[in-house]
Amino acid sequence: MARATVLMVEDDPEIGPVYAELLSLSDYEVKLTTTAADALFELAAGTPIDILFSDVRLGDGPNGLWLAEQALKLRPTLVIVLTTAYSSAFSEVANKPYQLLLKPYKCSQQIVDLLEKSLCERDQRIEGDL
Amino acid sequence: MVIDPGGVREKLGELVATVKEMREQYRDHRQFIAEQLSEHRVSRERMEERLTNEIKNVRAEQRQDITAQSGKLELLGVQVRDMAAQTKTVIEDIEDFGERIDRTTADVSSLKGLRQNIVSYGAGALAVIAVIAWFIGPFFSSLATSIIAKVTK
Repeated sequence: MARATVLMVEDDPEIGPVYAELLSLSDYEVKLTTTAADALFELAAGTPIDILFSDVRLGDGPNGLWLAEQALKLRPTLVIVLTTAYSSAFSEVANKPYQLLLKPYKCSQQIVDLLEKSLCERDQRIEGDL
Repeated sequence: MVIDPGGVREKLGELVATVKEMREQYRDHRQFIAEQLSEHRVSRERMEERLTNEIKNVRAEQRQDITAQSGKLELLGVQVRDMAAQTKTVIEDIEDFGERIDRTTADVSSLKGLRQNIVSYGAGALAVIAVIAWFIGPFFSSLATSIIAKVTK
């Protein structure tokens, strides 16, 4: 059984499939999309998803920050991890309930650690609310 | 020497006019330089901003490339480890198969020996039966003849 289901949004064809495969090897179920619109469709369609793992810059369409805001409106308990190669993005996500991971990753374990940490924090938050 | 006050006044007037004109020229020149400097500063700031953005983009592209390459390397490492494990299993299977072939070969050899023995013993037994039949054959033959004779009387 998978640890959790990750909706990965990555427009770079060199990166998306590779990290989707690596996360699959770490027992995550991964759904890969390349645009914010496709990802939002999955969320709106009610697909079981625990984590949204999205690049901040997504080509010419809406970016990851926009997607994160829309996703939280649809699913307030969704874990959101954003990733980018631009260190300036840290100021853009300040005071927002997202984790930010800077590229390049040291290894896929770095992503796994962050996903696990984010899931634990979400579970604690939910237990605290109850 | 006779000083002409009118001439001096006139010279002074010319001098003052010249100074005024030079001051105005100087002011215009200063203003021109200030404007040029301002434009240059704006242009330099724009260029710096553009260069900064380009450097950011280049760095980001490098980070993307490194991310892609390191991910591919990691995935290749996993695949190589999988292949090594599969190869080890295949080698173990081949070794096991070799041992089974050796055992089967030994079994076949012992079966061949057994068959040889059976053939040898069979031939001996046949010879013994033939000799016995040679000696007791006439007795059984006369016995059979007398029985038939009695029955047919």
